[in-house]
Amino acid sequence: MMSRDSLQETILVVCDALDNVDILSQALKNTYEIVQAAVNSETVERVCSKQPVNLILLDILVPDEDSLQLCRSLKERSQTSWIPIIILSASHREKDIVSSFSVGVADYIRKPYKLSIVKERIKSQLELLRARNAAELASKIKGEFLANMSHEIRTPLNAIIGMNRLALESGKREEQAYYGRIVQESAEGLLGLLNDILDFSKIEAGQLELDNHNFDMGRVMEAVINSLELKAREKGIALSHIVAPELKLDCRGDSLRLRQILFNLVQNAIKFTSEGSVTLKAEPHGAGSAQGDKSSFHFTVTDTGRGIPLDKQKKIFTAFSQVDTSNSRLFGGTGLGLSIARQLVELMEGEIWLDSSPGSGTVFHLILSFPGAVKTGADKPLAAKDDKFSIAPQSEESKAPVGSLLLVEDDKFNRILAQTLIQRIGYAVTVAENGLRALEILSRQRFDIIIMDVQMPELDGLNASRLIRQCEQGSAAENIEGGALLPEGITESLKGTHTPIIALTAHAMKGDREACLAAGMNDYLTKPILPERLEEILTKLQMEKAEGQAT
Amino acid sequence: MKTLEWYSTLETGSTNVDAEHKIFFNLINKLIHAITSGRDNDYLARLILEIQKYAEFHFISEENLMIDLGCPDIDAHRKLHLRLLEKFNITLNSLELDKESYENFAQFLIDWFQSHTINEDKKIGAFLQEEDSSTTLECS
Repeated sequence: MMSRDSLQETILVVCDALDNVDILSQALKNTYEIVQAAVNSETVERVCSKQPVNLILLDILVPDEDSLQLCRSLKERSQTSWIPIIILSASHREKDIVSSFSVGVADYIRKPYKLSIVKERIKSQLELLRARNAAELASKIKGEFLANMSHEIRTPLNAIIGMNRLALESGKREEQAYYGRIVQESAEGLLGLLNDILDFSKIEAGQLELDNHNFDMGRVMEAVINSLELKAREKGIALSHIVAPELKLDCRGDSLRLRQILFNLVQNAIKFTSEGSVTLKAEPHGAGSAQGDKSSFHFTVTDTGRGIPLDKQKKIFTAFSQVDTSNSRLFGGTGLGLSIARQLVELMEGEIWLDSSPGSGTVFHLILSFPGAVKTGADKPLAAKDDKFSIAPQSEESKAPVGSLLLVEDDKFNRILAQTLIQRIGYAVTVAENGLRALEILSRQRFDIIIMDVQMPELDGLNASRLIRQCEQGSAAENIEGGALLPEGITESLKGTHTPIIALTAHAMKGDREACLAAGMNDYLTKPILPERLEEILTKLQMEKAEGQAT
Repeated sequence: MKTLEWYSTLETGSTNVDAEHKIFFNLINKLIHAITSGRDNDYLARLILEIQKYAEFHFISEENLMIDLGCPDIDAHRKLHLRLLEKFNITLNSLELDKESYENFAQFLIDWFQSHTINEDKKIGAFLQEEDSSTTLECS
């Protein structure tokens, strides 16, 4: 990348003697574009305004008032102030060198010089310049991103706060339900935004790992379409999906990430289409050729939107970019979606590109390979009802509880929420506000499952879990770190048992999961709690327990 | 190429300047000898560096003497010194690494040394002789 750039870099050689120009020009002409000028402010400024100049070599006998004035005027003008100037002079006098740097030159090379050293010093100045430009660009983009993000976060928050207030003030149940739905939708949008930011930073840090498992491709595509159907309908856009019948739909791979890619592409298509249709299609890659691989998928997302100009097509996959900033006001969004999609595709070793021209819509192409599902006993399908789960109140409250559960959570509102959700699934819930309280309860009572917040005062979730596991093995010390005593009778109560513990945490970073598992916890739920995921985990634990009893 | 003999026209009238000029003269001869006896390029480069460093030293020394004597044209003379260094730079940097161009370089040194000494440095000697106090400034 560097060598390609350096060929395009231009060096302006400003000289008071022709012989010197020749030496420098001859030595540098193979690496850089060379232009020459006399020591004269007007000439130099004219050259700099006519073409981009990346560096100025000022070759003079001695840095006299004329040449210093030239440097000053270059540094004063914003168009040229960033151009590094290197003085080459025969003067070895301290005063000359100091006054050169004081007018802002980047380097001072004394004559006689070695051309090899001059070349290296030019190279290092140009590298500094490139790094500086990159940093300035990044800072500018981040500034824009932050402004944009602030807007993106405020918008749903405004709806959440405003609608919630209306709901509280309203006495009518239908009105409250209406406001509640808007609050729900805005909050989910906000969560999606935060997840995008988190995913993006994980990918940037190289911390995102794929989690491969068996899945049904048809269901993944359906789920994407289902979750965006409402949005499409609101805009009056026809949303459909087509799966080529010859495709083998039993796949192995990271279905959640695939779903995220497809979701981003389809959501993006809906966003930039004002009328017409959006179609998600899957075909075998290389269809038509004899050896069309049945596990290699060619997805297309076709829209009838405004199209993307050619020069913006590459940029669209980079972070924080939309076709233009005025559009970002019109369409909203962080510009992270497609960047995340591209990076996930790269992680899956696939390809992504697009065909488009302004006015005639856009087709995003995606090629991904998923080997056929591997049949193993461990890959039992989980509770297969993720799209029909509903958090509507269940009327059969009189039913006997499916089990007993200890919920340990310090935040009052999160405790109430989790308690309500868990009760709806059918568990009898006991609550504790920190790890210490939980241990006290556990010394008297046993539970089928414990759900434990990680960050809590007095005794946090990780330490509490460790102590519980130690007690179960009969090996706990009497003192808890920090001086508190273990509740009396807890070892007796827990010894020989094993209660599954699910971590509950707002930390969604890599390493959290590992820390929880290392502390003896069995699984991991991130906040905000998704009812689907909660039920999935509880069902899985129940099944494991049933299996454990059966064998 | 042959080494050179010192000749009286090169004498400026200043004992110190002449003493330094003779060292410089010997350095050029040393270079010529090294070229004709076929020493390798690395060694020649070191000799050239020695000459360059000695020239820089000598220029400062000569300029200091001019300051002490109160010579009026010191700035112009200093610029000539810088120009010689510049010329040195140009010649050195356009050097092909063969015997002939080293000989050309040595010849260039001889030429500018003789012309600068006879045309410029002799003015210092002349100035010195005009000043009665000169003997106290020069150490012998």
